[in-house]
Parts: sequence; C-alpha cells; structure tokens
Amino acid sequence: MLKIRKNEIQQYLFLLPVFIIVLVIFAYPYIRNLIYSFYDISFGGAESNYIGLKNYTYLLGSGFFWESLWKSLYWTFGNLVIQLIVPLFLAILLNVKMKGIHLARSLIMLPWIAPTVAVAVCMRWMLLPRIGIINAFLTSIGLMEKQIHFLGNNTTAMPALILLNSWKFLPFGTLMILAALQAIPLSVFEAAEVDGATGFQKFRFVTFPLLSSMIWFVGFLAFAWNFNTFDFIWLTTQGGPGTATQTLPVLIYRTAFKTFRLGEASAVTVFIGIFLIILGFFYFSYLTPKEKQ
Amino acid sequence: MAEINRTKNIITIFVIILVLALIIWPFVYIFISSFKPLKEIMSRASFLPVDPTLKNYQTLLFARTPVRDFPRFLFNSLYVSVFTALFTLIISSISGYGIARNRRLRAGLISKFLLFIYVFPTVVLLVPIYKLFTTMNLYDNLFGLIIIYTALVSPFCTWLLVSFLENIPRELEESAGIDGAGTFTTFTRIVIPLASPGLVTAGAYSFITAWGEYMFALILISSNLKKTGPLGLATFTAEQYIEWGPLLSGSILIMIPVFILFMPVSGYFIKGFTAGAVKE
Amino acid sequence: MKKGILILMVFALVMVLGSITFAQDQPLEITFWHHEAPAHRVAAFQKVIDLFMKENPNINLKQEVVMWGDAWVKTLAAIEANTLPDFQFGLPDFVTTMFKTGSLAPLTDLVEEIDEKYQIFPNQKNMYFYDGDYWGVPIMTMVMLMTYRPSFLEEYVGTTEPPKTWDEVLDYAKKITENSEEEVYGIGIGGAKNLMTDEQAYIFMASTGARFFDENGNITFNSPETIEALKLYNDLIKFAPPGAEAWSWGEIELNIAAGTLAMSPYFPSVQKRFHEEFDSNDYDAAHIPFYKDRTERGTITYPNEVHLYKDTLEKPGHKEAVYDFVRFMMRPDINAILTSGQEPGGFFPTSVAASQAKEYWDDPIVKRFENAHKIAMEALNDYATLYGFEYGKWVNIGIGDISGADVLADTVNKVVSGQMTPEEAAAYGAELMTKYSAPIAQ
Repeated sequence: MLKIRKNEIQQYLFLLPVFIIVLVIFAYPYIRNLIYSFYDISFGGAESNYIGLKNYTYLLGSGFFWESLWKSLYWTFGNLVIQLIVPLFLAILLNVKMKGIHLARSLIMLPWIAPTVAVAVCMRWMLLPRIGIINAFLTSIGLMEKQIHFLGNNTTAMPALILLNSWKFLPFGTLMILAALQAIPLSVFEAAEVDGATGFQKFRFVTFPLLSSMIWFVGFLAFAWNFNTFDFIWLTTQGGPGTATQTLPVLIYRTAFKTFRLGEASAVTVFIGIFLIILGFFYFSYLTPKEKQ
Repeated sequence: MAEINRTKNIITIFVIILVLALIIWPFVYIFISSFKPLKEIMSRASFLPVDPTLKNYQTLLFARTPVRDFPRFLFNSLYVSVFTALFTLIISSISGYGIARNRRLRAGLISKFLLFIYVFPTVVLLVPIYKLFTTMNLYDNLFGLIIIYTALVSPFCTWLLVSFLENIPRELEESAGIDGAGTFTTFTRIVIPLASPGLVTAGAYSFITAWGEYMFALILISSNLKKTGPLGLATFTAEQYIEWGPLLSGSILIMIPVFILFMPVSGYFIKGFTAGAVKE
Repeated sequence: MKKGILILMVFALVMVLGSITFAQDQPLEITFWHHEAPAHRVAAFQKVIDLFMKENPNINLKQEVVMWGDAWVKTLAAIEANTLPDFQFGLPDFVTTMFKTGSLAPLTDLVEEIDEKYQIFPNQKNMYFYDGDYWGVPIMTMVMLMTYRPSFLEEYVGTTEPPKTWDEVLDYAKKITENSEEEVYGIGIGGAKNLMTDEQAYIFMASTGARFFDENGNITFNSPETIEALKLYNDLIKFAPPGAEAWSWGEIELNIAAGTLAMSPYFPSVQKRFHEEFDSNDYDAAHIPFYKDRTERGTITYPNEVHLYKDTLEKPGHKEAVYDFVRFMMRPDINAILTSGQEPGGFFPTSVAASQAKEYWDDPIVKRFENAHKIAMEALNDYATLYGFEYGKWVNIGIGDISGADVLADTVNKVVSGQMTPEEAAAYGAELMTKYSAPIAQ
C-alpha cells in the first residue's frame, strides 16, 4: 500500500518539468498581460496609470479590432480547409508500397522544414509582377492576361498568402494522416474487398471513418498553429496591403512594437485568451474521447 | 489483372511525380537562381541563368567579416538546435512517462491540454520573456534560446510521447519491477529503447523548429556573432538594400543541414506519429 | 601571528595593485548599434573603427547591426532591461521616441564644438535641438530626389530634360506608360502602410506646402494643401506598376534596377548597382519639381545621428571615448568613408567641411554620377526638411509615434486603394494623429 503511494508521488514528480515550463514560459506572460491591460502603459518605461477598462472599451468600439478578428477567422479557416483536404489526398497517394516512395515522402517535407525567413523572402520575389517567375509563367501559359502583384492587391493578398502558408504546412498534415493510414490494419481492407467494396466505397466507408479522429486532430493543430501565425505574415506582407492581412497576432505586434501601446496590445491578448478558452471548452467537452475504464 | 496493375502503377508514379513537382518546384527554382548574377536576379524573370556564377556562394562562405559570418551563424543554429532537441527529449520523455503511467490522471485530458497551449499567440510572450531573460542573464545568450525553444516544443513533444508510451505494455515494466529494477532503471532500460521511434520523431521535430525560429532569436540575440541562421539570413534583407544573391544562396544553404538530418529519419517520423494516430 | 597578518596584508595590497594595473591594460569596451546591414556598409564602418582603434589603442570599439525594422523594439526593450549599447545611430523621430523614455544624455557641447570646426548644416542639427540642448550629432544624411532614367525620357517623351513641375511629371509619366505599352512605367511610388510611403508622400506634402503641425505643435494635417498632395499622389500612382500600392524598399529597388521605372522620387542610392552590376550611366537625379505656381520646393532629408545614453555616463571613460569617436567620424576625410565610401548616393555629408572634402568627390561612383551628388548637396542646403521638424525645433514630441504608426502612409493607402477620397483621408489622418499628438508647450 505504502509502496503504491510512493510510486504515485514519483509519478507526479515526473510531471514537474513540463509543468514548470508551462507555468514560467506560457502562464506567467499571460498574467503579466492581464495586468498591463488595465494600464495605459507604453513600451519603453514611461510612466503608466491605472485606467480600468478603458483599453477594452476603446478596442470594442474601434473598427480595426473587429476587422482583425474577422481577418483572423478568414485566415484560420481558409488555411484549415486547404490543410485538411489536400493532405488527405496526398497521404492516400503516398500510402503505396513502391520503390522510391521513401524518397518521395521525404522530398514532400521540404516546404515544412525550410525556415520561414527563407521561404517568405524568396516567395515575395517570385510573386512580383515582371520580375517574378510566377507571374511570368501564369501569363505565358495564358492563364492570366495581365500581371498581378498578388501580395499587393487587396483582393488577392489574403488568398495568395493562405495558399503560400498552406503549402508550407501541407507536408506536416500529410505525414500525420499518412501515419494514421499506416496504422489501419490491412485485414480491414481485405475484409471490405471480400464484401465487394469499390475503391471509393473503401475510402468512404472504411478509410475515412478510421481516419476521422486523426483528421480532427490535424484540424485542431492546424487551427492552433494558423490562428497564431505571426512570422510568416510579418515577413511577407506585414499585415498589408492596408490591413488586408492584419490578423490578430499581427495587430498585437503592431500595437505593441510599432506604436508601443502595450496596454492596448495586452487588452487584445486578453480578449483572444477569453475567446480561445471558450473555444477550448467546446474542444474538451465534445472532442475528447470518453474515458475508457 | 497484372496488366491492369501495371498501368495503375505507372499512373500512380506519374501522379506522384507531378504532385511532387508542384510542391517542390520553388526550391528547384531558388536553387537554380542562386547561381544567377545579381543582374539577372534583378531583371525580368527567366528560368535558367544566362551567365551562371558561384559568386553568391563565395560571398557567403568566404567573405566573412566580424559582423557577418554565415558559416558561424549556421554553426550557432546547429548548437542551439542540437541542445534544444536533447533537452526536449529529456523533459518530455520524463513528463510523458509520468502522464502515461499515472492511473489517476486522465492522460488524454492532460495531453490535450498540452496541445491547447499552442492556440495562444506566441507574439504575446515576447515582452515578458525578454524582461525575464534579461534579469536572468539569458539575454544575448545562445543558452537562453535553447531554453525558450525547449519550452516552445516540449508540450507538443510530451503529447507525442504520451501516446507513444501508453502503447508500451505495462507488463514489461511490471516484470522488470519484479526483477528488482527501480523506477529509474525501468525507465532508462526498458521504456526508452522501446520508445525510440517516438523519441526520434520528437527530436527531429524540436530540431527543425529550433532551426527555423525567427521571432525569439530576433528579440533575444544582439551580438553579431551570436546570430542564428535565420537571423543571419534576415540581415540580407536590409530595408534599402536587399542583397538578393546571398539571400538566395543562403536560403539553400540553410536548408541543407535540416534536409540531411531529416532524410534518414523521415521513416521514423511516420512511425512516431502512428502511435498518436491510433490513440486519437 | 602578527607576522602572518602582515604577510597577508602585503599580499592583499599586491593583489589590489596588480588588479588595478591589470584593469588599466584592459582596453575600454565600447559597443554601438547601427542599422546598415549590407556587407559593404558594415565594411565601411569597420574601416572607420579600425582606423580609430589604431589611433586609440586603449579603446576596443565594437559595432553591432540592428536592422531598422527591429530598431525600435530592440532599443525600447533594452531600455527596460538595461542592456543598452554605449551609443546608437538614429533618426529624428527615433530620437524623440527615445527622448520620451528619459534615457538620453545631451550632446550640446560636442555638437557646438564640431559645428564650430566643420559647420554642420543648420537643417541637420536643428532636428536634434530641444529645450536648449542637442540630443544627437548628425553624422551622415539622406535625401530624396527625383531619380530618373535619361534613356527612357528620351525614348518615350523625346526630351533629355527631367521634369521641372509636377504637372510635367504627370504628363511624362502618362506618355512613358502609354508609349512603351506598359513595358516601362512612368513613376515609381508606393502606397503601402510603411515608412517608404511615409517618405515618398512627404515629398508631395512638402511640395504643396502641407505640414503635420503648426509652429505650436497643433495638428494641421487636415488642410487644403494636404488634400492637394494626396490628389497628386493618387493621380500619379496610376502610372506606377501594378501592385505599387503594396511596395516596400525591396520592390522599388528591384523595379528601378530591372528597368521598369522611368522616374521615381526616391533616394538616389541605387548608384552602386548601376556602377558595379550594370556598368551603366543611365541613372540620374534631378531637383524635386515645383508644385503649380509655388516657388518653393520640398523634399525629405533624414540626418543619421549618434545619440548617447545616460547609462553610458555612469561607466568611467566611456563618454569620453564616444566623444572621441564622434569627433573622429566627423573629420571630413573619415566622414567620406561613411558617406560616399559606404553607399554613394545613399549617404551625404552633414557639414560644409565634409561636403567639400576631396575624399568624397574622388570616389569613382560619385565621379560617375557627379550631377546627382551636386543636386543632392543643393537640395540639402536649400529645401530638404522632415515631417514634424520643419520649424528648426521640436514642436510635437508625438512625431515618433506618428511616424512609427505610419499615419501618413496609412492616409495615402486609404486614398490609393480607393477606400476614401483625399478629403476624407486627410480628416482620417488628422484624427489618427491626435491620438499620438503631444504638442510642446512653447
């Protein structure tokens, strides 16, 4: 009896490292932000006053905050759709036994392992009209009549950026779904074949249901990572043109580090925090598999 | 039947090659362009270089100054990434084991919570972390970067390892326990070897993240010679003078080490995630 | 026992003395930040540093590069965390922001001493004058001119003379864009919410006589002059390449080099590339044109200065070392290394003495584009100013935040993207400015 007790304490001790990290690196900054959000504090040490909820009322009354929220949702869900559908097909395509498939699976990872700085700046160059190869190619095959500055146009900037970002994330989703595919025992397919299922039916009734939890999971990760994408947007468009790609993380950065209004930026943060916690509540209550006893 | 299979195979190969080409052509183009002289990079697009040159690589590798030393930047990144991977593995395997083996904890819930952390924007962490690190003497210190990167990746890696460790039969450990092995011995002798695909995956994941990270490095590193690869690359994008040649060749050079590392472990990567796939 | 104490004391004394001499042998470590990352600019700084250290072997001077885009964040963070360098290069709006944090030390004696010796251009030093003190020493300066490609003017307009009025610019831009069938665009101006647009748009404001503030620091942005400037900008950008609304420095320089632009109000700083990469003379700069019947021109100048931090004063010997290095950088022969030697056309001298230095004019690239350099010197002497600093003193200390928030560029962006009329945009910009405004009580 006592031995079990001791073991259990040990097991809690095992949790300590990651617990400390979460507390210091993630929780502490959020608490600081919560405090800042009630002050008119500005970055750089000038004096600050307690102003109650003023930062919040200012934000809620301003158009730019709601616009950024909308941009964030547009960005997140736009990415999500591509990053869920395309990897599914890529994974099925790559889930074959063939010579060289190993190489193909590695090569496809390139966009994901390439550092963001490199990708962002090179892509800016490749997307330019006249100078960039993408415009030259699209006009030469007759897909476009006039060259477009994709990242510089209010209507094309967001879709172009979503495509670019998805391209960078695709490999990761592909890999995870591929892993899920490989975990499906072959006998399941054989059984389906015996029952006379066609290729599509196999996908619809066998593969897809078995993958669905993984797809949900990739969806969650994609949501998390896309919702707070900052460096990719900042290094390509800085939230522009105008505010066309100014998602919430970009707004926070701009407010805190370009106009130095730390209090206001913190209020945005707290707002996002509340929004995400509500979202998280749904995630935990509906998407967590019931505990098996 | 065999005939049908053969055409099917050929079609599959064709589609795979087509899809691959669609996905990785930008790298091919950047690679080819890195041999173009500046004049060609800065003029209207053409696919192949007219007058190929090695100058862009020479500038990076041999024209080293006390302020900009690209090989040194890559070495810094290597140092940071290796230790990030190492620390992450230690921390997340210990914590992951704790979660996986604790009967009272709802492992699923905790590991989900670990992932939920990633929903919160990291931009927010910049200022408080900066202040914290300067008081702890971790500012302008590569070790500080290792700490922050370890922190950034270890919740994800812990999740990964929890699902992996849960699949290791308890009986193995229990029999080791009967043989008189302590918790620590059981952990290092039995659990760790069995979890190696998961560990390789977590290690590679943390290495890759640390290798490409930009924001924290930007804020936390000041000295010229402590810059990491991405920071060094960013110095070619000065506002009024973008150095396109070295930028392109640098983008290629910075990808080579991760690619070399990734190639042999990509098989493990899939295995590493399979455990998570079964669990989720 | 007593003997033992004595030995110990002697030993301690020797140690203390030893450590003092040791400390004296140790050179003084001075670190500074600047913002010029390209290799050849870093090399120019290093050249000056090496020459200085040869003359002052007791000082160990170190340069660190902080990119402009990161400079505000890194400096403010460093102020909060006490990790500042000894001194830093900056710009007027940058200095006002840092001034507000109370971390700067005045440099009045140094500025006056150098001014007496080399005569600093009044415009350049006044931007750092406030409350009876100078808060920065202008080391080198930048200025925007009407840069153009003579061959394009000749081919598509049929003239070798650059435009003299903005109406002519508009006319030429239209002709070039149409006659070349959009192979070449008439003008290169951007419309994104960034510093480049701030700078280019300010030329238009300065041309029509519009100002951010009046002499008492009150916001006068919503004025007929601003509206005219915005209208002109909007008319002209129609002859810029597609997507110019989102340009940043990288794009404009690529386009100048790629030969898709005929004219651009911009820094005449692409000379090095024309000289080294293209070996071409087809690049020149002219005065900023006149607006309608106004007799005054206007353009933007950015004196790059050195400012000193209070923290530095507390470290013995550091202030003196910084002073010595600033004196050294202002020596006309050395200054030329930082101006024409660093980036011909990018950086110009800030003093009369340095602007006449043989070392400056002997640079091969300066020789090749000599006309542009002469025009730049005239513009610096005659009419170049900076938003918020037109009155020869600080009038509104919120200027750093206004420029940090890119309010002018934001306003321009609203117009060129068709979201607002110039009238609405001027009101919008003025309202945004009120948020950051901090007039100085006179």
